[in-house]
Amino acid sequence: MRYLFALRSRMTEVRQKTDFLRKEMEFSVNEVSSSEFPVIRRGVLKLRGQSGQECQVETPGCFFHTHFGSIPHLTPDDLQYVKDSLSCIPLNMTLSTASVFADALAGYEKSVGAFVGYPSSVVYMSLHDPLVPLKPAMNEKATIGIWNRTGKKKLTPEQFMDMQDKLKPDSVQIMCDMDTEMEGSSNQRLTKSYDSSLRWLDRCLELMKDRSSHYPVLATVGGGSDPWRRKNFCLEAANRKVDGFVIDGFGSGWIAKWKEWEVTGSSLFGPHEALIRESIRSLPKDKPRFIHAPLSPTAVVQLVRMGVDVFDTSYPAALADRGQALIRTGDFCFEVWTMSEKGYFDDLTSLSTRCGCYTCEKYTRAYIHHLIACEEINAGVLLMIHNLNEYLKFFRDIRKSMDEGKFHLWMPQAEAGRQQADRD
Amino acid sequence: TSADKFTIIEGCSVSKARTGLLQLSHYVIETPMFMPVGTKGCMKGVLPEQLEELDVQIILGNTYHLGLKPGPELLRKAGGLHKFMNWKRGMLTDSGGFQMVSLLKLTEITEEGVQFESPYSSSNPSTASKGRKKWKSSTGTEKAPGSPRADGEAVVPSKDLMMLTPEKSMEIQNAIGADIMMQLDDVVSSTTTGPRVEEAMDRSIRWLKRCGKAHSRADEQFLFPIVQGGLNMTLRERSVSGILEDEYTGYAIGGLSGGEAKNDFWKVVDASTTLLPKSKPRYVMGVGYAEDLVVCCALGADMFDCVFPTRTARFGCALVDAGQLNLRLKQYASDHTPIDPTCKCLTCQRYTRSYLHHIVTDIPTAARLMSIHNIAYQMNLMRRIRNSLRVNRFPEFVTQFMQNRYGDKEIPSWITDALTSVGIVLTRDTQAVSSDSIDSQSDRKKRSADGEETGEQ
Ligand SMILES: [Zn+2]
Ligand SMILES: [Zn+2]
Repeated sequence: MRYLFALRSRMTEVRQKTDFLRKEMEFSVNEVSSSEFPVIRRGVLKLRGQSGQECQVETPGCFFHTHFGSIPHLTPDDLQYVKDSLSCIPLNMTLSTASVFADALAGYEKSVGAFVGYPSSVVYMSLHDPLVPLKPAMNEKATIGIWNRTGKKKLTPEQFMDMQDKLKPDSVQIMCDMDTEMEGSSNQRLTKSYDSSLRWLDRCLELMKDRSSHYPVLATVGGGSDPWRRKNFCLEAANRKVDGFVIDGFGSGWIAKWKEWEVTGSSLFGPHEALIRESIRSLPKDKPRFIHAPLSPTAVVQLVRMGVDVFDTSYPAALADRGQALIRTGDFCFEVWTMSEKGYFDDLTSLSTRCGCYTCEKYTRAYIHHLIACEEINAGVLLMIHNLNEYLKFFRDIRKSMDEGKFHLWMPQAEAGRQQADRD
Repeated sequence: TSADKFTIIEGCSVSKARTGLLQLSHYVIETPMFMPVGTKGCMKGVLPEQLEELDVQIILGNTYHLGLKPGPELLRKAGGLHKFMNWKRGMLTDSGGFQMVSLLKLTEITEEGVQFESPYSSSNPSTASKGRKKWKSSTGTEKAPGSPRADGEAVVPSKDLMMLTPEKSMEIQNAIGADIMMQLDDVVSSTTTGPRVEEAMDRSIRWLKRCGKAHSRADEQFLFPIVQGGLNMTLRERSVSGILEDEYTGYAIGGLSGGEAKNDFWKVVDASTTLLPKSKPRYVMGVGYAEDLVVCCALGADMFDCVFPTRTARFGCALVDAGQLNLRLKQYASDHTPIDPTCKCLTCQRYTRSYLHHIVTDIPTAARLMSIHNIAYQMNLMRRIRNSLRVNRFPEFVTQFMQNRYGDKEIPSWITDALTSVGIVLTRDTQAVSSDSIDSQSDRKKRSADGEETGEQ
């Protein structure tokens, strides 16, 4: 009854011969549907870096969110305290911050991963940093705008590909027009966004053919808040030679809005829930679906249930930025603790009694409270190490529950966890 | 008992420099040694394990800051600062007096102690209270006003004033539990002259005796006296003889690095090390520039501290033998070399000047990476000094170091004067000695020495 559909594919095999230079990105996935659950997808995404390094991402899984190429708060040696190794977590760099050093990389012999301190990592270049609010009104007919500290940088598809050629990542999210309003964008605006995104996608794919550089590419599934456009966009994108999809384009400020919806508890993704479902239903099952946002465990579980495969670690980073700890309080329950709260002042117990990470083993809640009170950056370091461990273990546990046929157990408890988190 | 804590392994046959081992409660530190400053119970941006990796053997904590946050009560409850901050090696705390003079509006220094304006009263009226009160704990809870002086607690005569007494300083430092504690001294600016200098020097000796009396953990924590007396050699002499009435494990030379002329600075260091017993470590407070460290070692100093290396790191300045690199400058935008190709620190092993240039003002990780390199630089410098002493090639090291640092520029006269006074004569045509060869020779010697010493450590 539960087992309806299983699928396995090797994307590299079906590619045209002209693509022999393309670096590989393989995805194999088992998708199971049932009457209770729309989909349960369990897969492995293989990526290969320029220096031949391989990266196997178990899905549902996540990439390392980075800011200017660094994992926020951490130095590379801190990863010894993170259980999952670099060989199973690619670096997700963002063009908006990486663009500042694109020119400098011209004379650099090693990979962009080496440049940012992670020579053995496979690098995926997405467009925007999910922790930096998207500035509005930045895209024009022929160009997208990338914001960095020097201001707005306009990129045509040619310039976009030039910049990727300088940065040389191992896979790329193709530029798209995501700058619609959450609600109330005119039909004209939505049409423009739709047309530009498709046109740019085609142009970038065309440009890649003519150039020596080839990247596995992800198309961004946009279409604003209009279900018809979204569905069509998915169908169009699915017809192109892309290796996966990024679900985005809900309008500027969607990440903040999601957070608000999650806290008020009405519906996790508000009116976007139907949009996501529609999008995903129209996507080919054998290609990975990405989402770039700081998502709580509750939101992740919901999206996994809808068929999203790849996330990022911006959520633990966002919590660490704010002096907050992600605490697992039960097998399926999480809470978010704000460590600056007075009650932690003289609490000499370890951060989480169930975690056992470096932070939990060596420090106390009182010490982290002290570091926050003194505005020491070490607070972010210790919280990030803990939050990352907690978040990555959460993904491991999701996969394990799938492998054991117990994924359904996440549902009611996750809801309870959400309500508990709200109280904090 | 304090006599056998410090062992001199090798002395320079020319200058007053020496290398030795100082046995502390938590760790045996090699001297000469630089102590990075971890003001508020952590080294900004560097984890304790990273400090160990960099060969940091002793760090400094600030009693004034730690007394306010998290406060002595919690530190006692946590089992001391070592445990609280996950640091296993040596630690030294200052008395808190210097911070009061430099950070707060100092109102008065009396025989009782240092009186200052409460850091809470003006900015945070809710914590100001009327009448006398004790040192405030950072929980925000006020303790009942106690009897003024019988218990040694600091008391304040009005709502905005607090007082740090020698007894209070000892109480907080005992709660912190550092291996080395500093006496509370009467600090005057190093450029002050006249009777105030003498008063401060005499009072510092009286406060030293009060500190010794109030010190409750003498077997675990060593109390270091501070030689005062400004730039006046007679006063320095009197200060030392007052201090030497009792025996201590080590001695600090204070009242310097406050804007005095370099010529005065080295002469005071020189005079003080000569007056102090040869068998005890000497700590010159507030010294951290590479050339100052090298000169002070030649003058017989053993321990140093300074916020400069870590503070300048956070502003994008990397330390190298030739001086400093300001990585914010455009010239480093496409410089794909490490800060220092010979440096083995994480930052130099993994990153180029170019990447650091691009992130240095944007992300906290940059501050971490820069601090790691600058601490590595300080530690390497001290190790090179120790290694050259072990093979009795310290004068050659100094010559080579100054040549690297100043290149074709003229070496400042205070440096040549100071070094000449201890027999190291820098001349332009000195045969260039590769510091590499000194390092490798001493490494060989060190390895064999380490083999012999394993049992002892
Ligand atoms: Zn933990
Ligand atoms: Zn270095």
